Order: sequence, then C-alpha cells, then structure tokens
Amino acid sequence: MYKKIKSIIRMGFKDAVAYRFHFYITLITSPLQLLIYYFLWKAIFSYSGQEIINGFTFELMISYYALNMIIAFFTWSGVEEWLEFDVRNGELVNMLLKPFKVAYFYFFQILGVNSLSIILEMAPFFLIAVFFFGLKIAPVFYFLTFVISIVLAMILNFLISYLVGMTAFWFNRIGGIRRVKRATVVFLSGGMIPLTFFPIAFQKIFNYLPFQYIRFVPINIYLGNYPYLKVLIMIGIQITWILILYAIAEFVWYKAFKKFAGAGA
Amino acid sequence: MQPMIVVKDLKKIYKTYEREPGLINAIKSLFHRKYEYKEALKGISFEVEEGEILGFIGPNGAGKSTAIKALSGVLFPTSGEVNVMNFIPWKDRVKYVKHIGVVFGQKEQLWWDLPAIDTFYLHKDLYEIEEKEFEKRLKNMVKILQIEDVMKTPVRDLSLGERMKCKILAALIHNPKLVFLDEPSIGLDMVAKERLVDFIKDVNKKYHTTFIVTTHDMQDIERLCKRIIIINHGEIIYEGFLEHIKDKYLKKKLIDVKFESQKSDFNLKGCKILNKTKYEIKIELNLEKNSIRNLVDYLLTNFEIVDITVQDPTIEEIIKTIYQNV
Repeated sequence: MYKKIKSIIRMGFKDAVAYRFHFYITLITSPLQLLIYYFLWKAIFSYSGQEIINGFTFELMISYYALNMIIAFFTWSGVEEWLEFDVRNGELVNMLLKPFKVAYFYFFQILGVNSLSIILEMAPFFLIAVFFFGLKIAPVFYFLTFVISIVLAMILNFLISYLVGMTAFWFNRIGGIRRVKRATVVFLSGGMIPLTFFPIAFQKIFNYLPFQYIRFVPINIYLGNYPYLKVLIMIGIQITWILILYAIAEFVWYKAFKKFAGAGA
Repeated sequence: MQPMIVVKDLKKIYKTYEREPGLINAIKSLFHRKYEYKEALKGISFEVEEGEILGFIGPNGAGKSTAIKALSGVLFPTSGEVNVMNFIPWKDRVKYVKHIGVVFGQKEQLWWDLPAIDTFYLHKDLYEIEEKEFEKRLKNMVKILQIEDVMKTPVRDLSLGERMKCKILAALIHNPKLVFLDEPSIGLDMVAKERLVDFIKDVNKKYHTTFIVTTHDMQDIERLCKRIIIINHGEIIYEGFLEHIKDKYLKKKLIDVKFESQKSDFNLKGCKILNKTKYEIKIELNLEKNSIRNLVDYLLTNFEIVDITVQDPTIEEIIKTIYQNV
C-alpha cells in the first residue's frame, strides 16, 4: 500500500514539475500581495488610532495574512476542476480502471503537487515573511500543532472540494458552483479577514461549520491564541469534520458512480 | 468449468435530452427539456471461455463500447448480470480491475505531460509487479512494439500511433488474465498493425490471456479471432465462428467469365450482371434462386468460354450486408 501511495504522490509531483513556471510566478506575486495587505492595514490602524482592532495588533495582523497565504499554498486542491474535466470528457474511465479508490488517487496526486509547493512556494515564502514582514517563529508546541492542523486542513479542504466536484456528475459544467464555493470557503474560513471581525452571532454559527478549521483555526494555533487544551480540542474538531465529510463523500460517490455514464467512446 | 465471462440479459439505458437547433430552442430548453431514453444495450447474453480471442463488432453506435465498459467495471448497467472470474465488475471494481487490462482507442490513458515510461512505473507499483519481472516484461514489450525512442518523450508530443503503442504496453504490463481492446488499431500504420496482431496472438498463446477486441477493421478480426459477436442496435445479431458466418450469410457468389464470343444475350434467373464488356462479364449469383451448376451449364451452352473464376464475397462484404439488413 505504502508503495502505491508513494508512486501516486510521485506522479503528482512530477506532473507539477512540468508546470513549475506557475510556482515561480506565485513566488513573485505573493510577497506583493502581502505588501498590499501591509499598506492597507497600516492605513486602517493609523486612521482608527487604536493599538488593537478586534484582538489584533498591526504586527499580528500582518502575521495573520502571511500565515493565511502559507496555508493557502499547502491546502490547495484542484480536485473539483479535475473531476469536472474528467466527468465531462469521460476521462474518469481511466481513473476507474486503476486498482485504487478514486478519491484516494486524486488526494495523493494533489499531495504530490502540494509537496512541490512546499519546496517552491511555502518554504521560500515563510522565510520572506520571517525576514521582511516580522513573522515570529512560534514556540515548539504551537509550531508542531500548527503543522498537524494544516495537514488536517488540507484533508478538510480536499473533501469539501471533492464533494463540490462531484456535482459535475449531475450538472456537467460546474464553473458557477465552483466560483461560489471558492468565495464561500475563502470568506468563511477567515481567508479574507479574521473571523473576529464578524458579529458574535455569526462567529457562533461559524463554530458549527467546517470552514474556519481550514484557515482561521490553524492560524490562531500558530499565533498562540489558544491555551494548550483548546488547541487539542480544535484538532479534535478538525478530525471530526474530516470523518463526517468523508462519510458524506463516500455516500455521494456511490450515487455519482451509478449516475456516471462514461461520456464519449 | 464455468466460462471466464458470463453475461446474462445485460441492459443499459441512457438518459439524454433532445433539442432542436437554433437559439430560440436553446432558450426553450432552459425551462423545459425533452428527455429521451436511449437503450444502448437491450439485454444481451453471451459467454467467453478463458484463452479465447473474441471479436466484438458492430456499426457505429451499436453498443460495443457500452458493453466493454460494463464488462470492465467502469459503468453501472441498468439491469442484468455479469460475472467475470467470479467478480461483479462494477461492484468489485477496485479488486477486479487488477486482473484486467483495458485499452480505449479514443481515450488518453497516459499522463499527458509526462513521458509514457512514468505511467509504466506507476503501473508497476499500482499492480504490485515485482521489480525483476517488470524489467523483463518492459524490455520485451518495448522491443516488440518498437517504442524505445518514444517512451521518454512527454506523451503530448507523440503521434497517435505512438501513443496507442504506449497505451497497449501500459494496459498489458501487469500481465492481466483478460484484456479489452477497444479500437486498438486506430492510428497504426500497416506494419505496426501487423506487429500488434502478432503480439496479441503471441501473448494469447504464451499466457493463455483472453482478449476481447472491438474494431472496424475486418482484416484485424480475420487475422485475430476465431469467434465473433456482431452487435447492432443493442442486440446480438450473430454469435459464432467466423468461418460459419459464411455458411449462414453467404447467399451470393461472384462469377467472372472471360469469353471469345456469345450466342445470345445473358439472361438467367437469380443472376445480376455487375459489369459487362465485349469479352468479359461479371455476375452475382443469388444461391437461393439458382445454383452454380445451372449457371455453368448455361454459360457453356451460350458462350465460347476462355476462363471462369468463382469467388465468395469477402468477410467485410458479408458483414456489410448484415449491418444493412438489420
């Protein structure tokens, strides 16, 4: 089993290498993006005259965005696009002919792509954030639990992506659904602004949704905003969400496969 | 012993929608769609023995690919039973596909941006092939299919025929017991086609591998298969040995007569003149209406014969008439 997984990850990695140019570009654009946040929040903080806004100092706010981008690199999942393409063109047949569960195959392939992203995007960007944007290196406990939580965040994001992608079995083209999903996930995960900026009532609702566990919660773990016990509870909730979404995905897959006609030859 | 493949009353109904051309109709279909149910397979039954090379033929849209897909486990049929090596293909998919190899001529089965060799190595791990065994098979197949030079180039840069050869290798590298080849000779030149036929025969003989081949190329079928199944409109219209098809459907003979002179105009019941020149006449004889014997008698009395040749129509022509009659 281990050998099979390694081989699929390697394929994803090699495939990503074929498109390495894309990674070089983001390496240039992402610091620029962070710079924009930097000036934006500088203006907001000086205008408000406050030291702390919704629990964030200016330095913490910049760290928040830096970590937000680091997590975005690692949790990337193109599976909804892949599924849409494969279902529409009937290429899913090739996936089905492999002696491997389709969801796992996609997952490990994406893990391969994201491993290249660690080398070409995440690690360099982390260093840039530390040296130029004042991101502090977290204490060991928080650093390690952060690493665990972003791995879980990646699985969580993959499952949401996979579930959305499976709608292609019913609708064929899901460009619209994909856009709505992307906006929803970025917004509700705290990828746009920290969730503490929302009214308390909203934040309570977010606690019962899986999205904040993709970005907001891992970032807060890194920043040391939770006591030790709460960190572990948060990781527990992440795992629970993964199990729930996995069960739903299995069920939907069963329905979807029945629906699949294998378009084309 | 139970046959390798048993198919009983296999049915597949697709749901599609129909739309008249034009913008107005496109807008109409936003609100109301006329759904249609298309019966791709109307309940077919057949059996395949281990070690057989079965030809699966039929005109476009006959249901060949649907049948292959259901048999290879990638499609959920509407009803019916399929048992292949004690698996129900679509239910035991992950376990089942380990034992089969499938080539879809129309599909890209290799990693588009990577050299084919990467896909071969992926299959080595996915199908758990032993290192030594893998190297041996790879070397052997690469030589026969002649792809030493192309397997290290990204697949997107290969020609149709080169890709086909790589696909065939990828589908057979794990030495499956059962192989489905759907239009495997698309894009292959004559020499490559012949090599492929020899290769399939060789694998069949050496490993007792079962092959199910669909193709429009009757030459491939004649060279490969003893038994064929002809399918049209989702139904099996012929199942049996290729040779027997002549007995069943051969209702005509072609006669070519060369002569020096003739006493009267040619006119005989059951004969159709296909072509006539001053010293030659081509006749199609309908065996249900008249016999060779009568025809030859007639010719000898009315013509000063130089030469007579009697021919059967080719398999290709017979099958063409079968397609057209149904």
